Amino acid sequence: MRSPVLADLCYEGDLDQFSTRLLTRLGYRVVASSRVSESLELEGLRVVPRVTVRRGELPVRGFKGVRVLLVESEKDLKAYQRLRGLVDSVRVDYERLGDVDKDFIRRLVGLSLPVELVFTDLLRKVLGRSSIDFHLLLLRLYTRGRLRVYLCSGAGSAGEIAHPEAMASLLTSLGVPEPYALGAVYRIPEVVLEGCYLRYSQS
Amino acid sequence: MLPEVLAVLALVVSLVSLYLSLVTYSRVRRAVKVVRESLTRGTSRLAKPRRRYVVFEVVPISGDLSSVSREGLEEALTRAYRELNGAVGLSLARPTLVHYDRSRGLGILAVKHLWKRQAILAMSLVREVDGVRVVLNPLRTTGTRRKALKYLEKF
Repeated sequence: MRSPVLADLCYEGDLDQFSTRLLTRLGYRVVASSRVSESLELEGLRVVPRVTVRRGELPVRGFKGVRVLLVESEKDLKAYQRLRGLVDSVRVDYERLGDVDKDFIRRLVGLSLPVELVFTDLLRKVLGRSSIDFHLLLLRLYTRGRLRVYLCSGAGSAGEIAHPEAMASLLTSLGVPEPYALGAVYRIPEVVLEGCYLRYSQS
Repeated sequence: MLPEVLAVLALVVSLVSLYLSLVTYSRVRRAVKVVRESLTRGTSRLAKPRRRYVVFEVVPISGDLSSVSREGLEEALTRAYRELNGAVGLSLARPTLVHYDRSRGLGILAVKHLWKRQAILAMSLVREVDGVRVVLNPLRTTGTRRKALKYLEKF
């Protein structure tokens, strides 16, 4: 059985020599960054482009990388069937979204795309005693197999890079069973990347 | 002839019913066991806490690694753990820095096995020690201190 390719799908920091070495040292082999426009290899670390788009900006044509849909309101998921194949994952802006109803969750589940959670945001909320009810709802859906969730670091600099085990530990601390927590860090990001590579090869 | 056939038939029927009742009994027993275990899990059964040794390295982001002292590192780890899990969590897990090689920036953190993950998460909260910006990189977890030291020697 091959070992999973560890990927951080939302690294926003510099990609200098020190950062790339640190990322490799922490075990990452692939990083998705919005700072690059095409795939490149830096000291053994593969960097793939990433774009975060709003619903109105779709479709993104000719982009070879990870495409993430930013959901800011409940309307963004209306007629979600049309979104299939246009994006690789979904990120939810919890502050702007506010309270959600059952329909929103139904659409999110129906979309069947992985939902991106950002480690630094989640940790900041936990330490700042902010509400993480929506995160917990998503994690509950994930453990019941209704939704796929993955965790990325969201680091803005080398000092904020998180170890994958620390990311998995955050999920286990929130009550996610260990196999699911490890899957959200090690397996699902790889699945997202494989989907992207498959798309390149077909296009 | 007929009574013999009936006797054989009765024997077969009784054997089948015996088999079915045994299968049902074992299934019900298994189900009761599962339900009982799920009800008692986490409430009445207390696992015996064992120690785990988390080998980690201190990666300096800015500043000199030699400025990172053992006391400073231990204090930063304790502070991070308390911030995350509170005073009760800290006393339960008792994370202790049992070894720190200042020149190589390698250390061993002992913690109770039930709270190993929380300790690793607390490590990610440590961003600065003695004025040096650092990242703590957990390398490996072992069950004995000797194995942890052996790993450090090879690293």
